[in-house]
Amino acid sequence: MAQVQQRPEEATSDQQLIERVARQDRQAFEQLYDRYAAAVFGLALRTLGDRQIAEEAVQEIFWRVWQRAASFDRSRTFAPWLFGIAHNYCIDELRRRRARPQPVYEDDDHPVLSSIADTTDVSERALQGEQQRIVADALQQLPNEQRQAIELAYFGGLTQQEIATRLGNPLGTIKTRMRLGLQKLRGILQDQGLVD
Amino acid sequence: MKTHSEHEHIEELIEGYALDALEPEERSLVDQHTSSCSPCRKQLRVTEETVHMLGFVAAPITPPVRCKLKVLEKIEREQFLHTPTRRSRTATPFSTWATVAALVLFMATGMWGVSLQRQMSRMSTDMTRARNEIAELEGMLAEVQEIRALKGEGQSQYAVANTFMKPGSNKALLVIRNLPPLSAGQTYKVWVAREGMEEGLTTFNPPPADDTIQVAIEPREPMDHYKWIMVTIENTQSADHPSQQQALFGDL
Repeated sequence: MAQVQQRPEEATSDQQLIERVARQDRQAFEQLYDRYAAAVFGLALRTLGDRQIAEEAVQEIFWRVWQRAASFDRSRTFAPWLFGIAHNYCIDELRRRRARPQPVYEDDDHPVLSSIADTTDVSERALQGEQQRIVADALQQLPNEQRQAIELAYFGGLTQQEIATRLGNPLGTIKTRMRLGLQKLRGILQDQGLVD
Repeated sequence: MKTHSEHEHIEELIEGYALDALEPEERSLVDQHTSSCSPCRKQLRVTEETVHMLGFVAAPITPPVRCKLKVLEKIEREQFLHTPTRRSRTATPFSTWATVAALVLFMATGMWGVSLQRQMSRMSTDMTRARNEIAELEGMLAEVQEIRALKGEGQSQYAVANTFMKPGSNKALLVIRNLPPLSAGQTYKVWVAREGMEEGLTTFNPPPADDTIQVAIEPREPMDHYKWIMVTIENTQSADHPSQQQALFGDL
């Protein structure tokens, strides 16, 4: 399987920028913001389902990036670290508000990876676009029921028990689907050089 | 020592943990186990890395510019409030450093014996004033309720500033960064204005190699009585009207 075209200077640049942010460099922070704000806003909007709340999420997530930059592990890559912060915040917020986004799998007419119109300048985020395509393709390669379980947890903020209840499946079945799905996803992303 | 069955049980929970989809008691089990089990901790790390890549799946959407401005304002405010050495660099008319420099000059010219007593007394007065002004600034910051952003213009396009103010008060603090140095004879001047009137306030020149400067301002009326705030480049400190050379401009 062909690996993603990495642009070393771009990847290195993320690391350099977050190291500068750790030294309280605001210009470096602005560069990271410009590079990833659209991805974070897209994630927040899809998870939280409300534009106003998603805007607040972007501000809080990047504020946390600023505050936690010094604890960033230099042996890791920046994007998963950022998305970890973003996802944790969004899920906590989702649960705190006791709100749920529109269910992803209510009917077959809604595609699994339904996207909202993208207004970003793709040329400036070519690498991100490539990574997005690969991860989305990888997710599409999973069996429907595995993908469903993973997406309901990741984007819907549902626990395994809540997913089992919603889908009318035994809890053990959901756990197995989630486990096998993530293992397969990891294998695909490893082949593509996106994860270790 | 961890038992085989315990490992197996935790391994079954790791994906749910990474997706934040476990019940609290299951989550607690994983936390306890991974705190002392290196292989499971490693397994959890790589699983979490895979999960976090799912962030790429959502279609990117550019957020409104106000999101960025609000984060930057928050950072700027936090940095300002937690950097005591910077906080003392106010562009007030008097300078403690100037006093120290004058003392050094007197000593160098042999006049210090004559003037020392008077100079020490003046320096003490200046120091007291400095302390009072810093205390006043800190008190004002504690009451800050509003922040207004200014945007750089022209040759100062990379400059940014925020006005920290409290509605009803005529005291405010302008925190400016990336303002370029001026030619000899020129100075920056702060103005507040509304329809039909402009009020000139403090003049200042940013210290060389210092990217942030704080300017205390005190117009005649409360800040919220004005509509705009601006910083212009002036050739004379006593300009009655703002020049056409705007460096920063913002709404109040």
